[in-house]
Amino acid sequence: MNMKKKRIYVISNPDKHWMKINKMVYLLGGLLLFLGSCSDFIEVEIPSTELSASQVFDSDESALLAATGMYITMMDNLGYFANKNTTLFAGLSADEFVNLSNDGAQAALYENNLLPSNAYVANQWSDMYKTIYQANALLAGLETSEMVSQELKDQLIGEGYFMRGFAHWYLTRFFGEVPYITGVNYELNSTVSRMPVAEVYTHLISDLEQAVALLPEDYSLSSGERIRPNRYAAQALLARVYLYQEDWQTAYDTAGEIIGADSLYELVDIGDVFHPNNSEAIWQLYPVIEGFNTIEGYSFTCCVTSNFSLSASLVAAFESGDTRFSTWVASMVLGGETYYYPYKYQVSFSPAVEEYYTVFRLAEIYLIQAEAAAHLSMNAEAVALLNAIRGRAGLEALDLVSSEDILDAVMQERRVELFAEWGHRWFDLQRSGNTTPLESKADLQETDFWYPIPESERLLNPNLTQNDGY
Amino acid sequence: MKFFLHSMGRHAIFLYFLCFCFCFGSPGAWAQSTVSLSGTVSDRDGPIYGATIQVKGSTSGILSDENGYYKLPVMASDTLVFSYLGYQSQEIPVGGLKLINVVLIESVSELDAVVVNAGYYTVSEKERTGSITGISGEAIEAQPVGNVFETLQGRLTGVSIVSTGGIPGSRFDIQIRGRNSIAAGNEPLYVIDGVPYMSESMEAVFSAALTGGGNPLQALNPADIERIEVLKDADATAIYGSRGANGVILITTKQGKSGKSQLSVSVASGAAKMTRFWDMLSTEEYLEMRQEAFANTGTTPTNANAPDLLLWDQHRYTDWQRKLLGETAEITQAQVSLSGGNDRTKYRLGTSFREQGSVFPGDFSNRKVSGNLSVQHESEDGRFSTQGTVLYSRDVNKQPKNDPTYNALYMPPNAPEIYLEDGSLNFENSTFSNPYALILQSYQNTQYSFVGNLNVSYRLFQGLKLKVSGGYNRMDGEQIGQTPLASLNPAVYTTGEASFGRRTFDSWILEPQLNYMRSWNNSRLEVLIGGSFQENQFRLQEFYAKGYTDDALLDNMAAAPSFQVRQFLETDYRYMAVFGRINYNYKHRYILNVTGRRDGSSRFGPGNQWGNFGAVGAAWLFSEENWFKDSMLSFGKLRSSYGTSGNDRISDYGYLDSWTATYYNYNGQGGLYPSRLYNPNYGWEVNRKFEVALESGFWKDRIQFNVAWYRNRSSSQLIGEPLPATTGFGSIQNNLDAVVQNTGWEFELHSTPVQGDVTWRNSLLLTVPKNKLISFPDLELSTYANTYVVGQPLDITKVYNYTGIDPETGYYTFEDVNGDGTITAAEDKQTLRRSGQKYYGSFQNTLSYKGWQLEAVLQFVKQTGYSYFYDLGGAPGYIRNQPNLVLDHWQAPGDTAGVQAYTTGGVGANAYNLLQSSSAAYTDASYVRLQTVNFSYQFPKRWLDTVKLSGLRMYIQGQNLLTFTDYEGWDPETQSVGSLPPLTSWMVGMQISF
Repeated sequence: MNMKKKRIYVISNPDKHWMKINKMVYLLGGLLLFLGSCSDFIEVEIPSTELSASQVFDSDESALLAATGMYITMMDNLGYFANKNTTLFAGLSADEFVNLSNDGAQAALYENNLLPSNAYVANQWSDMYKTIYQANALLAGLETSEMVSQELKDQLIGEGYFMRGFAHWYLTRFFGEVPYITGVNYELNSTVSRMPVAEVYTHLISDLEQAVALLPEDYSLSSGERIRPNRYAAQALLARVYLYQEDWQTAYDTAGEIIGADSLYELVDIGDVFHPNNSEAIWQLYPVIEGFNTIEGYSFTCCVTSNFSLSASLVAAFESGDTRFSTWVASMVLGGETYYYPYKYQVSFSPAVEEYYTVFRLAEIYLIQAEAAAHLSMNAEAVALLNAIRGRAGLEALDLVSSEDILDAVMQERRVELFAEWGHRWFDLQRSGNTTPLESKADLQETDFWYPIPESERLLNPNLTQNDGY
Repeated sequence: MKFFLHSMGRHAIFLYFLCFCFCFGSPGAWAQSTVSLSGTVSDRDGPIYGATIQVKGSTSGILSDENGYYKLPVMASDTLVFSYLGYQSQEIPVGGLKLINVVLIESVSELDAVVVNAGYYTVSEKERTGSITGISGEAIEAQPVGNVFETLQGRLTGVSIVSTGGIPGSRFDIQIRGRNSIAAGNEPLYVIDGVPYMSESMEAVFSAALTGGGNPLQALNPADIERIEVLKDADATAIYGSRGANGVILITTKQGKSGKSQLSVSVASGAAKMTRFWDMLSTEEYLEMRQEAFANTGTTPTNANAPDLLLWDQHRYTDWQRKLLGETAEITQAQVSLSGGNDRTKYRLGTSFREQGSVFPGDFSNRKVSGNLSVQHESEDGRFSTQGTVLYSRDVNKQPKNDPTYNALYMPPNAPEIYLEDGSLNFENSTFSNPYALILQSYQNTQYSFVGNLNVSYRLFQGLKLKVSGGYNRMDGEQIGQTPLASLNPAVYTTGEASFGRRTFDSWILEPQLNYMRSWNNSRLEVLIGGSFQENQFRLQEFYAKGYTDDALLDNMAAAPSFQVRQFLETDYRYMAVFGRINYNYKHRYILNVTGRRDGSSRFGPGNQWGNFGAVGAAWLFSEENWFKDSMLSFGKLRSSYGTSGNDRISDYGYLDSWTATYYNYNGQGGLYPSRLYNPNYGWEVNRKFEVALESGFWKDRIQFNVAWYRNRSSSQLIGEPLPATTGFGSIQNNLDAVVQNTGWEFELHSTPVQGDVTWRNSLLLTVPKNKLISFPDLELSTYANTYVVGQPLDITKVYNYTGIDPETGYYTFEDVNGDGTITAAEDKQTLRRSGQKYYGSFQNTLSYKGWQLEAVLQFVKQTGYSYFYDLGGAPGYIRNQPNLVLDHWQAPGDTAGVQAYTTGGVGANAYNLLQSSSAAYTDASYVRLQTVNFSYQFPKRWLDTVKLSGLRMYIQGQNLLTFTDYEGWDPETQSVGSLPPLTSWMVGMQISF
């Protein structure tokens, strides 16, 4: 071996050194160029499960899907707005249900003893605003879209206004003064303040009137299925709004328009009221979770899955021979005691869809018009409407004269016709300020008629004030 | 470290070893020489390349070449010093010799020998400028546990590892130097053999609660690990750029060793059990509580709300804790490895098996099988080298779908029989929610994990090496959650159901690098430049099947009468970077290290994708200075670093305005919903890290003392800004203009008080972290107004101030801060409680005598925690058993007691709810825990030779053996009532090598 080769002196030879440095510079330069040339490497495609907002409102097909998404989200099994929880919470708060659960949050609803930290109330609030956001996003997308055909665009905008109003109506019923959200800007929406109820109603009526103007009379967009809101659905909610505002004449007229559309709507047999597309249905939601029909049908069986039963006073409120009791109420015996539960929706599990979740139906419109008529001293007409509902339930006609008696009878009829259905009883007690039926279960203050603004919301948005009593 | 190179040739002037070379010398050193001396330096295995040969008393010297050969001019009176890192120095007087061949013996001092993996480069422990701590494979192997995190607990300063439960596969909360980020992930980056490992939560598709989202390193067999290094400061982490903010955990797996092929077999067996049970109410006490609660609340028990009082046997007693959690979980593990090779090619082949049973009754277990192969090869001329590793594992974890731990506590003691006479579950006419239903409902997660990497390096010319490393990581998860009909109340349910989940994670990485190294005079320069390309693809699907009338078909999706897609997601993440490092070392005393990285990530919107990070680190080895020569100080180093790193641990596509398809259809028509609130504007989060540290060794490193102080400040925090629901969503991705500071002290004291036949070594580690919100512009207007306070740590909570039990009403009371007569959150939650660690550490001891060795690790944590005694599913009085401390409760006006009046609702329930978010719910959760004890015997070589074995070791090992604490719940570490606490376990095992 060559000894010279092996010698290592720790010295540098400047020439050779620079030669190597040059080589290295080329290599480094090459590497940097290589790296620099692929800087678009980090661009990623939109995931295949998503569509960009501009794509959504690029065509009739996808715009339609964006509107349909509102209904699907509401019928999702975890929803706190539609599909059971509005009925359950309001039913517990009113004198309809008796709580049998040890779940403190549910018990608090029943005891009218809510804390602002109640998780159910917070979920209910957020799910309603989620629907509102979807409606607003739909409206925002459609407003700037030039590719969606005008006819479809009108209808979908109508659906957006309707849904925005619909969710706000339930918000204001549960919480009283609420922010009315009409845009998608999160910076504005996160600092909103509550509006007086009258102002909420102004917005609500404006939205619904636009919906009435834009929505078609029929159900053609859903091929005759009554699962998308039409003009009458918007009018049904409007009639309800006017009734609650004690604008009797407008409530009467609006209800009258729906009742007048008799080619579309008529009262049906008690056993058919919750069947798909029956003639009484004004707007129904399609059950989306395969295998189930409605969540109420699945979970309102007494005592075990739902942990509530019908109150004794509600059971007693049914006159004997009322087919609504024999058809819409079921019972089970537990340790020798009988517990009743709602049986309006009867299918707990079936791959075939046999029941739709009904939001608006003609019977309510009859009762709205009856109530408005009684206030307008059109007593005979009021009694006739009332008797139409009673007769359908196999009860004899009433012969009432005084407005007061008629109004009492309307309230009684609302109680047994609309029990366990979208919170009607709770809202009726609330609007009449009637705490008497609740005295047996709770030391009720009038402030308990309004749920607390969720604590989590107030912590995130200090502009939100709390309802009295919390 | 040795290099075997065929010829240095003309390039000999360039020295290019990776990290350490001793190169003292100047051309003038041999000008006065009279004799030319030559020879070779070697160790037992062969020539040593780069050993220093120095004339004693002068600074001149040279290095040996790749054949160990050296030649230098000396005078006969000189004494030569032969030294090499990791070896004992030798002094030899020249005398009249012309040829001196030296065999160096490996040094006993660990410090010299330890080479630390810093990710893209290696550095000697002695000369590192960054803050890197680690644990060796031996220490990991001494604890035959299922998850590597268990072996790390308490053993690393600045690294907090908190277990979240005792179910195999449970998540660990890892925080390196505190919580930097308000909301973005605080998990470190994991890198296995150069391949970034999925460290995003391994959240299972559904029912993830049981293992708390899973554990990224569950798939790894701890025995395959050679070393784990944790990079903490800016100097060490800046080269990881955007992903270094939370620290980096580098895992190096075992490689083959040259020499005789060695077969090693290890088997162990043991058992795990609950550490303790709570003292709950007896049947009599329980029923009294219930009666009293109804009386207090003024309600009447009914069959529906009080079956325990009206329908059930009043004298029955079941100890539900021992029934549901009382089993002994058996553990078996075995591993086989074969390694060997020659100087140029080495391999290691290993496989392992581990099975752990469950403390729950029923058929639950965790089974893990893993295999790995590692091969290294070097070309004959030494210019080309390659290394490849493949790790594969399958982990089958079958556990209850819902943790029965909670039920074990609150089941009424007089609850009815578990089974009916026909063997089916008893639901006592729908009045009893039978906890054994949970035992029949299983959740099985099967995790397949593959990590492969291949490094190829080629020396272009002296001092310059091109290296390309590529890696691939794939994780497949399959979940099946089953609710068999047998577990359901037949009065209500007529069919069973099952969920099927699938998750795949694919990641590849390619990193070309250039390494340059050069030495001259007293200087050494290392330059590294590289690039990184990475892509992660994630797919997730969940299917829900129901309507099963036969439990035997539950595994079969096709047999379901009704079937539905619940989730269908995919995300793509791409990432690229350019990084570099310059390290300059002068006289092995003064070291400067500069690192930098430019990162681009697809997680940011257009215009915000690129970020720059960099750091400077410096070290001064003052013990090398002449004035410390021959003093008791054997090692002394002062180092400091400052720099930035970032965090992109956020979800993908946060900038994208898009709609997602719904999983359901509406009478045959699909739907779309807005995917998120999008924000195109957010950019990189920056974490500025500063550190000063002193490292010292005394009396030949028999005592080593290290102390480090750090200050990390993170700003423009990436957060999912929480939003009120009025926005339609819960949060939006955003940068927050807040600064969070983590400061802390880290102390390490290692000593060897007794050395000889009996050797006793110990280590005391202590970390004192401090976290503070430095600034938060417009905090009071933000959505965090009621969460954080400037000047306070992030882990504070605003709570009600508990003011005792009202002696008249018997219920808890709280301070009404604003005096409005009601207790409301925003206004009255004004008391601060902190739930974090004040300090933590460990005391490790190893005592050895000949073949015997006893090792014990004590872990200690000082902290405040949430007292989960207040979380037993509602106020005492409901149909739930309670700990017997509720016996000290209010009964009549004037009573003073610890617990309020029993209640079944109303005012009492509300008072209890407020208590859960009050000052009373926080308590001291400090503990000292005997984390591990290992007692082993290594059979003497003499004896082994007669039976032709090369090694035989037997051991007994215990984990989580004793805990000293005042905390009253299950466990002060997990502080949870609803999840199984960490178990205590014993293992007996044997290792044989052939």
